[in-house]
Amino acid sequence: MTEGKSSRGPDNEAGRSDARAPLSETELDALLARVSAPPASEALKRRMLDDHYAVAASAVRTHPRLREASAWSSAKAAMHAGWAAVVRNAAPAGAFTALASLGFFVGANDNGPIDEAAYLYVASAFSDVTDDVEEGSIWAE
Amino acid sequence: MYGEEESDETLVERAGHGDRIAASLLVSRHSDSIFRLCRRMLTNTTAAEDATQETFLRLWKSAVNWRPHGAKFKTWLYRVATNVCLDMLRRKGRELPEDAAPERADGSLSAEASMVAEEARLAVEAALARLPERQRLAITLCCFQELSNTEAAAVMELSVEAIESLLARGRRTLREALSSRRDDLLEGIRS
Repeated sequence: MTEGKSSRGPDNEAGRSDARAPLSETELDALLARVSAPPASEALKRRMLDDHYAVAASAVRTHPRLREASAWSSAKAAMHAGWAAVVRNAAPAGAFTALASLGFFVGANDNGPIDEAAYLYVASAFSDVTDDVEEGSIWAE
Repeated sequence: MYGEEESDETLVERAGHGDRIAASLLVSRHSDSIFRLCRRMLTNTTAAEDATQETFLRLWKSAVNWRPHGAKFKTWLYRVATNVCLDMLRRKGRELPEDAAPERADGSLSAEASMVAEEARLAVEAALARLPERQRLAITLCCFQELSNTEAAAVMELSVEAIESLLARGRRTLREALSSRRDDLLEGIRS
């Protein structure tokens, strides 16, 4: 129990208690201690992490640096596909590479730069798969 | 890299930038306690799962622009969870059905003793569910989630004195409500 609890009344020390009298504080504590609750299920934890992906992907899609980039329209489709693949745990490294092949992570392209901050922002969302991808192959200066 | 020693606040900031490992650590640290809080408030496992998921969804959305606002992260998360639960209770009223089946069988008890213990659990949960929302919340936070009165006051945005009053009234109501079945209930404890 924790600090500052209300003062406890005396327990009924008689062998068989009076059914009409309120429970003692100790008896109530003993009953409350039996009200267990299970932990969160693994399925629920997975759903919460899926939500994290979805929110992070949404934040990336609306990130002002990326909105300003004229390459956004083509990158957007790749992002959708990439995130969907990651959420499904389907070949995440492949999805990451696919995004790179479309020029999403390239420092400069025909339509203008996607700067390093934007790259880092997106890459942090893929932090679990970046080890699978050789950085030099996706980060062209 | 980082791990268990990293503060919640740091992990929230990183999760807000899409860091999956940081998000996983936050889920690992807090999902069980938040689910238990929701389960005890809503007395229904499915509703508690929805409330827990909604709590973490709000966390992920807030994490993008995370500012501590002076509150400890745990206090902030509990506050979000309690608000989600109270919203659900008000929206669905008393329609939320209580779980009827035992969640786990205690292998150390005989079948009869398990049944008696389970009946005791359901009776206490039913009495808790009949308490006014704020009394139930105060008891849930302090008696089950093991928050101090000061922490519970921060979660409920009340004074410590108000929490103590809610606890005293809630416990008195429970003691009276359960008295008519005291011998049956206490038998469940002894078995």
